[in-house]
This record gives sequence, C-alpha cells and structure tokens, in this order.
Amino acid sequence: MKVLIVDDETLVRRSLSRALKSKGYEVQEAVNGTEGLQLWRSWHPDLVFLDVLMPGMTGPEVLKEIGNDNKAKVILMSAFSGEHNMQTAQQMGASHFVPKPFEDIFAVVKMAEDMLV
Amino acid sequence: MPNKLDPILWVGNVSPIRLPHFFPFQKREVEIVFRASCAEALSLLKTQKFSSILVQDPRAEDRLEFLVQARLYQPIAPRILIAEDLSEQEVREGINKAQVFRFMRWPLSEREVWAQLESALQKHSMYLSRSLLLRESSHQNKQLEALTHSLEGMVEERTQFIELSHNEESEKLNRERLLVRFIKDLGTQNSFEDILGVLRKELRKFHKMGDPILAYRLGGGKTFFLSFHSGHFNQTDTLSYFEFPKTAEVPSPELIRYFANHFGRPFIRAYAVPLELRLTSHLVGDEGEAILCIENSLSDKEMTPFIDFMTDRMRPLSMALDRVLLESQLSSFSYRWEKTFDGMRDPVAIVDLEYNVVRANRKFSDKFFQQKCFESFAHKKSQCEGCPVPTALKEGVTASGQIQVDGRVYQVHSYPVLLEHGARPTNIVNQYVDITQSRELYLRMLQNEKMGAIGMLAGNIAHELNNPLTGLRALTQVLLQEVTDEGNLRADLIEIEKATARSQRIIKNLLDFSKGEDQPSEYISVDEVIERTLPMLKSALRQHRLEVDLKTLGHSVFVEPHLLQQVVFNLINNACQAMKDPGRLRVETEVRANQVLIRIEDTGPGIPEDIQRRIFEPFFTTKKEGHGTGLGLSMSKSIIEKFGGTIQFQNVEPQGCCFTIVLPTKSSE
Repeated sequence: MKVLIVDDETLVRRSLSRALKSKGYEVQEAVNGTEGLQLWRSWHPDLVFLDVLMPGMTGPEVLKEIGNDNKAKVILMSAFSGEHNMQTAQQMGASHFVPKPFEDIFAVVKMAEDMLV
Repeated sequence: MPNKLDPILWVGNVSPIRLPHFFPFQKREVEIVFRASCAEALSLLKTQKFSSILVQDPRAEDRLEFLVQARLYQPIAPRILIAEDLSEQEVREGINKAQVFRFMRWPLSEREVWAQLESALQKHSMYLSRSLLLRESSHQNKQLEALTHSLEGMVEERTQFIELSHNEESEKLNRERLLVRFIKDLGTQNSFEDILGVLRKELRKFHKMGDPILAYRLGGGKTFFLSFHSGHFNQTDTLSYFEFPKTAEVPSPELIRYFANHFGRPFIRAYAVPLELRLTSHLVGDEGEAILCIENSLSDKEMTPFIDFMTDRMRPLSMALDRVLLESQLSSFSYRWEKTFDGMRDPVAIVDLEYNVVRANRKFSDKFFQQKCFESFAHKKSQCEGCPVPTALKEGVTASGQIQVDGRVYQVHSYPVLLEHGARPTNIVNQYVDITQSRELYLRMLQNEKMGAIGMLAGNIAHELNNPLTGLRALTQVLLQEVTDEGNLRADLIEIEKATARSQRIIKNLLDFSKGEDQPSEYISVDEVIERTLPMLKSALRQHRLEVDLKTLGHSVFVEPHLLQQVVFNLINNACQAMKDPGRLRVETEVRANQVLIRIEDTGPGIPEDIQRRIFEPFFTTKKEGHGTGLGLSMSKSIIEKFGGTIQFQNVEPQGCCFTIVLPTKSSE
C-alpha cells in the first residue's frame, strides 16, 4: 500500500512517515503542492495526506488539478479548523478531514489504516 | 364874585321911604321887587324866590296871612313886619305861625329899616349857606352811603369770591389727592385685572358706567381685548382690524360697531381714550397701540367732569398698563427663553468673572445650586482642570475644553458675552456637552481595532507555531512508541510531549481569546475559564506566588467565555502590576447559594480611598500616559453586569485588595 504525504512541515512529514512505515506502508514525502502533484501522478499512491496551507500550490489547488484522474483516498489536514471541516473537505474531493494539531498521531494512523482496508 | 342874591320882596306902602331898586349888601346889589298889596305879592311867592320879604303895614287883616304863606313858600327868606299897630297877640301869632324875623313899629328911621334889612339878608345868607351846607353834607352823606354800599358790595363780592376760590381750591386739592391715590394704587398693581379693577372702582362714582375695556395690539394681526364679563376678568382676541382713534373722544359709530361685533352685544354710548405704550411699543418694534373704551350713558352735562376725570388719569393709566404689558411681554419672552434653555439636553450656565453662576438652565441647576460653577457642577473647591473659561475671558473668543465630573467627560464650550464690540467680556456662557459616551465609544473602537490587529497577529503567529508544534508532538509520540526501554530517553520524550501539548493549549486559548466577538454565550464553569486564562499570565505572575483554589467545577454560568476571560485577565494583570515587590496572588472560586464567587486578592498597597469612588469610571487610570486606556475596569464592570453579575472590591488587611465577582449560576438543563 502506497501513502503520499504532502506537507511543508518536516516534523509532520517525518512523524507520519515513521508511524506509517512502522505499520508496513510504503511512504513517499513531498515538501510542497507542486512536488506532491508530480509524485501523485507518477507514483499513484493509494492514500494521500494533504496539507491545506502550503507555499506555492495549496492543498485544494492540488486536489482541483488532479481532478478525476485521482484513484487515491485523500485526508485533508488543516490548522485553520474554522475555515475547513469534514463537509468542505469532501466537497473538494477529499475523503476525510483532520484538524491540526493532532492530539494523538496514532489515532490518525489508525484512521488511515481503516480507510485502506 | 359872590353869588347873586335873590331879590328882596317889599310889600306895602313905601312912603315916606324912598325905595331904591337895589340894596347894597356885601358888595352885591340886591334887587328890590315892590308890590303894593299882599294880594299882589302872593302870586310872586309861588313863582319867584326871594332873599327876604318885608311887609310894611298893609291892611292888618291880610298881612299875617301873607306872612304865613311866605313862610310856607319861602322858608329861608327872613320875614320882616313893619307896622304901626301891633297887638301882642299878633306878634305871638306872627312868631308862632309865620316865624317873623323882626317886628318893627312904625315910624322908625330909614337907617333902622336898612339895618334890619341887612340883618335879615344876613340871616337869609346864613340860612342859605346853611341850607347849602346841609344840602352839601346830605349829598356827601349820600355819596358816603353809596360808597359804603359799594364797599360793602365789594366786601361781599370779595368774601364770596374768596369763599368760592377756597372751595375751588379744596376741590382741586381733593381732585389731586384722588389722582395721587389713583396713581399710587396703580403703582402697586401688577396685572391688567388689578389695574382695570382700580379704574373700575374709581369709575363707580359716576354711575351709569360700564366696565372699562382695554383693547391693544402689539404688531401682528391680532387685537386683544381685556374686559370684565359679568364681573369676571376676561381676555379675548380677534383677527379683524379697526383703526384706533388717536385722541380721546366719543368713538365713531364704526368703532362702536367693532366693539359690539366682537363682544356680540349692543354697545351704548362709550368714551375711548388712546393709551401711549411707549415701552412696550419700543419692544415690539413701534407697533404697539391700545385704547381704553368705557361704556356709559352720561348726559352731556355729566360728560364734562368725566372727561376731566379721564384726562387726569390717562397718563398714569397709560404708564401702568404699558408697564404691565411690557412685563408680560418680557416675562413671556424670558419664559420662552427659559423653556428653550430648559429644553436643551446640555447643561448651560451663565457665570460671571468670578465663576459665580448668574443663571443656569434646569439641566444645570437641577443637579446642585451653589455659588460657583465648579462647586455646583463639579463640586470641587477650585476651578476644574481643563476649564476653558479663563481662555474665553482672556481672549474674548469662544473657547472649549474638557472637564471630568463624576466619571462623565464634558466638552465645555465657553462663549464670552460681550456687551459692546471690543469690550472685555462681562459674562461667560458655558455649555456642557456630555461626551462620555462618544468618547468611550471612540476609545473602545480604538481599543477594538488594536485588539483586532493583535488578535489577527496572534492568530497568524499561533498558526505558524501550530504547524511545527504539531509535527514536534506527533514525532515525539512516534518516537515514544519506538523507544522500548524505560530509561532517561523515554522520560525526556514524555516531557517534550507534555511541553508541546501545553504549548498547543496556550495557543488555542490565545486564538479563542483574540477571536473575540464571534463567540456565542455558552454554559461553562468559571474554573475552566480561569484555567484557560492563567497560562497567558505566566510572565505577569513571574515574580509573584500564585495560589489557586477553584471549587466550582460542577457549576456553570452562562457567559461569553472570551469576555469573562478578558475580565479575569484584566483583574489578575492589574493585581500583578499593583504589587511592585514580589507578593502573593490568590485566585479562588466558590459556590454560594445559586451564585458563583470569584475572588482575586493581591498583597499590593490597596486602592487609596480618594480614588476608590472613581476606579470604575471610564478613562480613569493611574498609569502613565500611553500605558493604559483607563477602560479596563469600566469594561470589566459592564461585561459582568451584562452577564447579570456584580463586581466589587475592598482593601484587605494587612495590605492588599480583593476584587469579588459574583455571577448567577445557570445550567443548560
């Protein structure tokens, strides 16, 4: 199972990636939207963790760009919980929404596992 | 030349005497008229006057009779009888009846005759002169009498005159006395009713008198009538116009009709007196005029004293009515002004150079009324800080300034009163505009804007911090999962995880706090609010010891959390700033009946008594310029009151101050 993490915050990427790898997932990281979009198209992940606010291309822009080509499930992450929620995320084509900061990273990982089953 | 004497009458025989035609007597020639017999002479007695009559022995029988006749006709002509035979009886009768002057017995010498004649003429002269004298004296007497009469008449006349003039005088005096009394009576009257009442009383003595009616105009189209209607004083007016007479007169039928039309009743004869409204006229632009109309049924004869009476009283009446009219006009003017000023929302006061309040409107004087404006309005002992009056006095121009009274801020506009152009002001009109609210709103707006900016900044910073913190915490959690040993590494990772968790909480609170307005009221426990707030005050509390004792977790209040948080933040922040030296801050909550109490107590110097009354006033601050808005406590107070609670404070022993907030408990059920 291939998981793509698109976030400009290194520690977020690294913590998610370590947690997922320890569960046996294949993980790729992208540091911004543009890089994320490329990897998404070339690598064809099964699940994408997508941050909303990033320099360059934002999460929603990436989602819009990938459009109907997308086969992956998307978890949208945002620190501006007031602006986005589960409903707006699903309208944009994401499967799930996770507000930042996480209380417990393993809860998030568990959620991702459930989605891939 | 002596007067000519009447002739001598010689009756009888002349022989032997030669009778001359004239007899010389006292340098005069006296004619001698001769008649031979008594009968002849008798007729002469009746036609001619004689100075003396001499009878010389005619026949004895008629000579006596003739002499008697002679006496009868010519009483003052002395009679001489010359006879040969003279009986005693004849002499007696001669004397008695004829009053013969001399009897002479014939014969006798011629000389004797002449002598006797002379003495007879003398006698006659004497008679004559006596009779002349008598006549004269009687004439004089008559003249005297006439004079006396005329004098008496004059005296009489004079007396009458004097009496008359005395009466007139006293009448005049009386009239003047009455007039003076009238004027005096008028002088003490202050209403139309009283003045007309005085006149009405005076008019009663004329009988057949109606009540006086006063008609006046003061410019404008209205004519006012003041009258007595069945004994009651009445004021009416009309828009119809009729020119008033300019002199006192029995008014024209047209004017009578004018009055009759207005009063809706017939008018009998009247008398109209124009009144001069000098003062009132001046006030209303020379358009004031008035007449007094007095109905009467006087005859022409009775009219004269009445006209005199009215003429006397016209001027004092004019003046009195003028005065009352002026007063009523002025007082209605000033009443209108007073009402205008009283109707104003702002206090207005006129003060003199020594700040004494000369006049003030209700808004000003209802508050307090004392001598000086700063005493009565601001109840201070001296001039208010920021008072613009000195500038207005000095410069003679409008000045403005702000003063603070009882927590209200007033913009004071001082308008100098200049009686003459270029003169020094005699008074100042102060208008006090309460700008507390607008100023408060303005400053609050500024504050909000500032807070909004800070909030946005805080939000951005919080977000920027959130990202790495999220990563940090998540990575720590992952690492903790991977570390298997129970050594130092794991303990350290646990501490890192805790610190990041706390940082996240602080940031969340900060975000909530700064977002403000948008948050709705909710049921929340004050303990939770305090716990959220305290971490933000770490730096303020750094050098003080914090004691927290929260006991209301199970009880909720219905508030907007960020506002309550703001209050708690303010109170604790103030307390920390009050404690210059390291002290103790105690925050405790407890439930009492259906209320929640929050107590925040410090060990600072307490609040000085003289400012205790003012600390909740907006803009009251003890901090330096630019270091505080003075809004903190006033806003806290209004926030707590909005939630239905109260906020109070008291100084505590041995030192410090304790603020107590009381909020009603409310649960969502």
